[in-house]
Amino acid sequence: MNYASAVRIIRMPCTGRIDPLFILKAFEIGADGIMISGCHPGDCHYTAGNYHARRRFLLFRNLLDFCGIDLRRLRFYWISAAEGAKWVNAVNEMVETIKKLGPFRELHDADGGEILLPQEVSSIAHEISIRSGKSMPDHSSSIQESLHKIGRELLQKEEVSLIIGYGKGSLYGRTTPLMIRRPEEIDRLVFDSFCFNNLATYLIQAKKEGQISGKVAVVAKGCDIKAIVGLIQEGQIQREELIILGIICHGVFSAEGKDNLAEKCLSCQDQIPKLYDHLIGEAREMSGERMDQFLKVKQFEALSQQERWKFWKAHFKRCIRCYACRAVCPLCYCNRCIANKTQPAWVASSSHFRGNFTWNIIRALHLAGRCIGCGECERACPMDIPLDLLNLKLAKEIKELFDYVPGYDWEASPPLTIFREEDEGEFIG
Amino acid sequence: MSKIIRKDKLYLIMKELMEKGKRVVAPVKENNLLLYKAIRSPEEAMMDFFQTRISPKEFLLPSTEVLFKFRKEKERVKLEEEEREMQQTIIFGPRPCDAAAFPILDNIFSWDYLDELYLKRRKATSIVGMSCKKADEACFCTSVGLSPESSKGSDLFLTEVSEDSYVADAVSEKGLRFLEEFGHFFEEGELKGRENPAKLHRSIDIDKVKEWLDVHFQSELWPQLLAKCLGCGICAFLCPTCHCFDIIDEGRYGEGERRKNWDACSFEIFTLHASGHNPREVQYKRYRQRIMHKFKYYPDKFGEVLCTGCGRCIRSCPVNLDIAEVLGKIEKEDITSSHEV
Repeated sequence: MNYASAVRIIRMPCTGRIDPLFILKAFEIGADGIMISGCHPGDCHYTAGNYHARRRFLLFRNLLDFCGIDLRRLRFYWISAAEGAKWVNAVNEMVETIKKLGPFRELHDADGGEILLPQEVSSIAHEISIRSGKSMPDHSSSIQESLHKIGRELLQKEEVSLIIGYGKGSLYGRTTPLMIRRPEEIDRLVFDSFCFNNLATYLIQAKKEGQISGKVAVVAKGCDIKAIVGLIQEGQIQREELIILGIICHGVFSAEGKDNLAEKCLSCQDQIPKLYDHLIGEAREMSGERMDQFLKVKQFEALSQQERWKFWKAHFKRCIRCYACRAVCPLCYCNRCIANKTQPAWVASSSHFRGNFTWNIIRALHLAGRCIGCGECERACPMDIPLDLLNLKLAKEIKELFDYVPGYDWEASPPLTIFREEDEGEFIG
Repeated sequence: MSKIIRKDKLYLIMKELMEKGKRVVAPVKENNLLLYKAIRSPEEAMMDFFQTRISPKEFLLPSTEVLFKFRKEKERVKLEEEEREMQQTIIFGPRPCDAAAFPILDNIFSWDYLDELYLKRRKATSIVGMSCKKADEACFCTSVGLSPESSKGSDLFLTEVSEDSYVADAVSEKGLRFLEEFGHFFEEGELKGRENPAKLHRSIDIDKVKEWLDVHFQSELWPQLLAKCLGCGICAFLCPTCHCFDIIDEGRYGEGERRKNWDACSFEIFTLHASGHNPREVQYKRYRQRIMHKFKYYPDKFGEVLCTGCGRCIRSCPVNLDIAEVLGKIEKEDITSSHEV
């Protein structure tokens, strides 16, 4: 039996060992097509490696498709050691396909890309915010008063050593994260519709830097609290270490100086936090319709593969690798980020398109099933890359495929740590 | 030498420059993002603008560039360094804060080692700067020795004198040659009253700040003011004067390239040693370096500050860590106080 010689075989112990990063790296250094071949479900030498791989590949593949990658360049097969003929056919078929497609130049050329979203996609959120009469967030000043009262007591009684909250910003339309340690400083805490930062990020930073002794209180909106749940779920913080000052939130503005509601607020299901020690604010009936959280994702999915590719190419090309998306994310807490590793350098640190492509895809993927949709990455991005669209795409896939929504149950198993025998596998040849 | 030029003639000059094979850089709008770009036609240039998101420094110091390539050949490694001709480039639009950054960068890249790529690009680049009519809450150029009408760093400096024309001042040899080359687009004329320049909201006594910095590398003020920094690189990457870079090798099978990439002192790995030790082990010390470099170390060496007050790091910081606010607080500190930590 002979098969095409244009293949370079890289042996791995198990498909379960294949990180999507390996695949991205292969594309980055010049592969035109990648074929993954592993043992059939049920045949795993390590019991279940291929079941885990199947989930991971499914998401990865759907994300690449969303970004406009031609999926003929990435194929998956179950081929056992006894199926020589299947192997030969699969390799020949793959080589044939790649030859037809030609070199994967689009990934290496600096040219091309079209930034504009089709009008119907970009204007949806705006329209909905007007239709629903929810274009303006609205917080009463009583929230601030309650925060001061509760916060002062917590510090006076030494129930907490630190309160992480919001303070007055230096520019119009800004607030700034504030750390309060003394009761007499408590009046510096504010809460209004410009409190967009997700302060859960500081729980990790303060802990890493040894700034915490004893309990910490944190001011958190419903969306922020979901990040706290994620951190507890992943063993980064203990529930007992925290006093959550949960705010009943009526929305924040989309960004500094803007007067429209943030998109995430249009589909918010967590105005009243589900987890807290103190609940602050008025529980008013929410008016107007809620936007379908995935509306924008669905609209984007309807574009052609070429259009999707052009869109992301133009956006990823802009990336300057400032890693603000990573810095503000409460769930990007790794002590050593994969993008900072140099030996080997899994993610090229240069801001060329192929490096940016790998970084932006792997960032989204590492948050799959973990991202709670606070949208901080997109707000922080100085180059206006719509990162939340990637996050939302993965959230949609995880909800539909694995029936999982992160941020509510810290005892649940994260979807990429488990599998079901009946998980979708039709994409595997 | 001063001359008058009508605004619409500026686009004709751009057109002529492009026809002559020169690269013309100007502010271009993409959705809500205004960036300096090499334009394909003069219509793309947006000359009625306030400020771009990133400074134009990337045209002299690109965010990534190849230094040389390497390839394994039998038992040897072959290095390939291409001789690079830098395309003649004219940058239209830098505000005083952006234009003034170029002489500041020149100091850095020529005081001991002559940075060939930077200096070659610099030689091939001319700056047509413009005065400011508008300032926002973040601007603080007047606190760092500049002003909305400062021509420092420009070769030709345009000041708006009416709805439809600028006064063009030749500031350098390059500027003079520019006026000669394109003389037919300019008119002789007297300086009519200049439009009111922008008014700034902030004022910091930068000398007083330096006096405090001189003796307060350690102070409990630092963690108080800077603990909220999350360690992204926005401030450094958007800054017209930040210039730190990293040198990395990017390889594939048997070949690769050495690249020079932007780096930022706010990154955790900026000072991380191979041993695992990090002398700046917490975030406030990393941002302190940013302040010390800009307002103490660079001034000690070159006699001016490493900041032009453009306000970009203030506008775009995701946690509203406002460098001018920090400087303002330092200015109010008692210089003799010592809170050692």
